[in-house]
Amino acid sequence: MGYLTAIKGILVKAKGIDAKLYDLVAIGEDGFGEVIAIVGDTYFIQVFTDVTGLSVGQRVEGLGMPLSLELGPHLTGHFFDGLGVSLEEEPFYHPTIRAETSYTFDFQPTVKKGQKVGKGAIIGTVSVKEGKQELSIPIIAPPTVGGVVEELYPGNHAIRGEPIAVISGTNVELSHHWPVRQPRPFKSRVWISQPLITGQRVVDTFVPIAKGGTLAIPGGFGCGKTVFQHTFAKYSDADKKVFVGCGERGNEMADFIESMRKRGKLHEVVVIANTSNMPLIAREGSIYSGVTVAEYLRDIGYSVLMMADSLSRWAEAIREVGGVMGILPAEEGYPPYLQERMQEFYSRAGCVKTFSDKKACLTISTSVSPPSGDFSEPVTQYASSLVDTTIFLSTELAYSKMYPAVDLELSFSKHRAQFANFWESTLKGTSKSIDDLLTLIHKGFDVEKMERIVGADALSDEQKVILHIFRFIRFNYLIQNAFDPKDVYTTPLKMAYIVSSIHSYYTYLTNMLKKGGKPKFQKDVEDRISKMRYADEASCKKLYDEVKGMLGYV
Amino acid sequence: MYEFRRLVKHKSVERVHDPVIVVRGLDANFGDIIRVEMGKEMRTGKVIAIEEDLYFVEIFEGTAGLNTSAIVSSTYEPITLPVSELMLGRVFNGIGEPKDDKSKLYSNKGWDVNGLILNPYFRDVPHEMIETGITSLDLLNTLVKGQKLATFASPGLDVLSLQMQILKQSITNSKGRFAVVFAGIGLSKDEEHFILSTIEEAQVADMSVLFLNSAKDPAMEALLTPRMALTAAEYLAHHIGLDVLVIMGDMLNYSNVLRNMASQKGELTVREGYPSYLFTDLASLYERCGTRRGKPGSITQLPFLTMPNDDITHPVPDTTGYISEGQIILTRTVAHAGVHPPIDILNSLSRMMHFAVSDKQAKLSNRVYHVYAEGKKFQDIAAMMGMDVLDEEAKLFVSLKEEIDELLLSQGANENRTLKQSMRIASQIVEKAPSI
Ligand SMILES: Nc1ncnc2c1ncn2[C@@H]1O[C@H](COP(=O)(O)OP(=O)(O)OP(=O)(O)O)[C@@H](O)[C@H]1O
Ligand SMILES: [Mg+2]
Repeated sequence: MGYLTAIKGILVKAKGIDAKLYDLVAIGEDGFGEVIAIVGDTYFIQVFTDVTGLSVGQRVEGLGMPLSLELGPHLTGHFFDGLGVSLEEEPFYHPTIRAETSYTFDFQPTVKKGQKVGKGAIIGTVSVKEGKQELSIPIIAPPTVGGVVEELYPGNHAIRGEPIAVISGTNVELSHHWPVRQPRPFKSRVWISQPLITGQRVVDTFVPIAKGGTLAIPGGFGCGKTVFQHTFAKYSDADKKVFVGCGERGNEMADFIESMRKRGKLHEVVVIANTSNMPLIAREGSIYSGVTVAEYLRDIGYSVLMMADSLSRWAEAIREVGGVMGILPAEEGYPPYLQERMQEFYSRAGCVKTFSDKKACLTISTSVSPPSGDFSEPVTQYASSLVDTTIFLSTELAYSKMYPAVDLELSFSKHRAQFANFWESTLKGTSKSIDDLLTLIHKGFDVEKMERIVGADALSDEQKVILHIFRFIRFNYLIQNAFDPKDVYTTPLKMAYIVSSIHSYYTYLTNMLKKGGKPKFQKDVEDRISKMRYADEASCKKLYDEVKGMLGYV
Repeated sequence: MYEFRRLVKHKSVERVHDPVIVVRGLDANFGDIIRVEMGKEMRTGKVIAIEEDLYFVEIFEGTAGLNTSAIVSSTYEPITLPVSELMLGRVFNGIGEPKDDKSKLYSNKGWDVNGLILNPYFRDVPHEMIETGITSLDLLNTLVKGQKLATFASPGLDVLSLQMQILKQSITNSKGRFAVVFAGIGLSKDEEHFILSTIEEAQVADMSVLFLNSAKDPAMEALLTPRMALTAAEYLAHHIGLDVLVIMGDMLNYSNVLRNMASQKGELTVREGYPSYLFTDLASLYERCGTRRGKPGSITQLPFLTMPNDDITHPVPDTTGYISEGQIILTRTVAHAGVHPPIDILNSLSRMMHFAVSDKQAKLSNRVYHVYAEGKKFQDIAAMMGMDVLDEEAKLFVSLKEEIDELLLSQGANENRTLKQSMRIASQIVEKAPSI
């Protein structure tokens, strides 16, 4: 048996244990950690639990497996710590590892005895009650198990310890273990083709997120990262959402579950909470737990959105470990391998063909918290170079309470052009309207800067039109109040109506200029457009038709 | 291998650094409190690392004056605070020793000062306001039970009287089962005197607990002061069931002690010399707030800190902003404009406010913000180009903004306004504004 030889806060050293790199070890009475380096006969262990009270000579024992999660039908609708242990039991948190065995489900096979099934294939379902709804959750064999179904045991089973089937001599249970740092396998990758509809106007039209894509939201404190992530979780059109509260606030987590519960949508989420006062090392693990749960949900066929709020806290945990290990830091104290870790993490997003031949996408959305709101810091830089969509939030806009405070000058989505078809099929002409308005917005920034220098009177008529429409878009389209039940979500069709209306109005004004006239702003047109975001789809269409009529497009 | 640790009781010091001494073969656990005897003098320290048989002990009072003849022994315990209901009405120093003339607090319960981790699943969403009697807070930036709301102040502003006003008034306005724990970090003698006399005069001592760390106390004690205060608060809130408001400051002093300690210990430092774990350390304090679903008792935190050079991007206010649920900004500019307390409402925000206020208040508060922002915009224009460039409506906004400054945002250090009064004053002003 092994014993502790040194204790340095989050890092301890041990000798005499039987363990491999990244294996879990038990420490003392109820502590545990993970082997992160082996030098000669010394094991370096990062500790997930409280180190206060440990002493040298105390027992350390290899557990013979890496940090793993129990993946099964018990996950959705529930709340776990960063290492996958249920948080629904004790009001004051004490980190441990504990197998979840108390959940039971009624298993109904969808395969027959004697049938041959592939590795990781769907073999049945369980049903769960959510309010009045009866929901069916697929059950898969572990990705390592396939072959001939030799036995089936329909009926009620605990998630662990009771076989539901025997496949080629191997017992299969409702849940299985998976090491969190190892991406789960799938049949093949599939092209990303669909937008993730979030209902956030500025996002969906100007900086869209792809189903299966990756997103980073860098922004200083109070700029709206968490509000964004919460709205994505509540309204986006992914089937399941995994929310990882990584080193952030407990009250926000409470608000999140409370509002999901009120909406009757708890069954759509898995919450992983490692708030900033929970063990630092588990914060590092929580991101991997989250993405592993998300991959599992993908593997049973769901479209999944995984959110991490905030990835910077995870990077900081990695930095702390590097610091104690004495790793020569690269930028701002971060170890040189941070970028590689980030890349490995983001690459777990994507669209795949599952072992059950379903197409399923895993989208990853991450908040980034740059110190002093300075976007040149390493985590922001690495993130924005690795992801498909970066939504930069502006401190200036947030301070003037213009939410969401998206800085459209910096933000970028590499999928925008790809989704032209989506917008064309929503409402003909919309994709050109979006392109033109985005160009106008970029011109608007320049004209606004110029106005500050030369004054409004010195602007040309064309510039006046640009500035006017730019501000009109800002106040009637880009800002969106997450706390107003009517404003918080806009359907793509409504977005298309509004964007097209503004585009028509802009075209109308430019035509006026082309004919050599002075621009005449139309208050009745503007009034109508400004009402559109609060209207339902039918009334929105009516307003759209009226606007078109008034501008002579009928 | 297991038994050797109980054999050695005392041991001599092998190396003396600042602020750490290295002891060989001590019998102690990581995090234990250590007693150090040097002649007649007693000092206290904590085990911060163990490497084979070498124990690294951080000495709270500093190591100046120690040498290798010091005798060291462990208490076998992490730092604890004896807790009991009798803490109410008492004054302690930063490490929980009585500072009043009453006796030491006897209690068989010592609570670990590193505190409890309230499981987020069992948290209630903060939804009830604390009436501080201060309009800029109650009406416009409501303090909500269970939240943490940091206050950033320009250097040199008198924040102590605001702290005392909030302490007094929140106790007076509460309907029982409410207490304030105050943690003063790095106080001067005058400040201590001011605190004690204010509390006595206002007759709120019974419902308050004071932890006063003086600027002259050993540096390390500044790091313990908020932990002591929060431990007391946790006992009163989660054990006794009181709603507890914790007012602490100056958290810049705290952070600077943390910075100095980290650099002495040769730890990884990042922006402006602050340790890489500044966020985690501050969060381990500020997260100790909240309410439990279905249980009485709550902890609300109002930490105060100075913004060096009025710079909100300085690492300490910046890191605090990333933890706090909103921020209250106090500036010299506002103070110079004659507004007291000098709260810059345009840059302040209580993120939890919408959970706790009526629709009516939310609308009124938005309206005040709107009128104020318009007024400020035109005031800025007028400051550059003269009042003449403004039209009548713009002039009206400017005068309404001035009225808000004078009648709504300014109030005396002893003026305790009910929310109703604040709302009435606000309505009377914004009623005169052109509708939007
Ligand atoms: N879309 C929105 N609509 C209305 N208010 C918003 C919106 N976005 C942000 N806010 C306001 O800004 C506040 C801060 O937003 P949020 O908590 O999302 O910031 P954050 O970027 O996550 O900050 P931190 O880094 O400190 O966690 C919210 O409490 C809310 O008052
Ligand atoms: Mg946030």
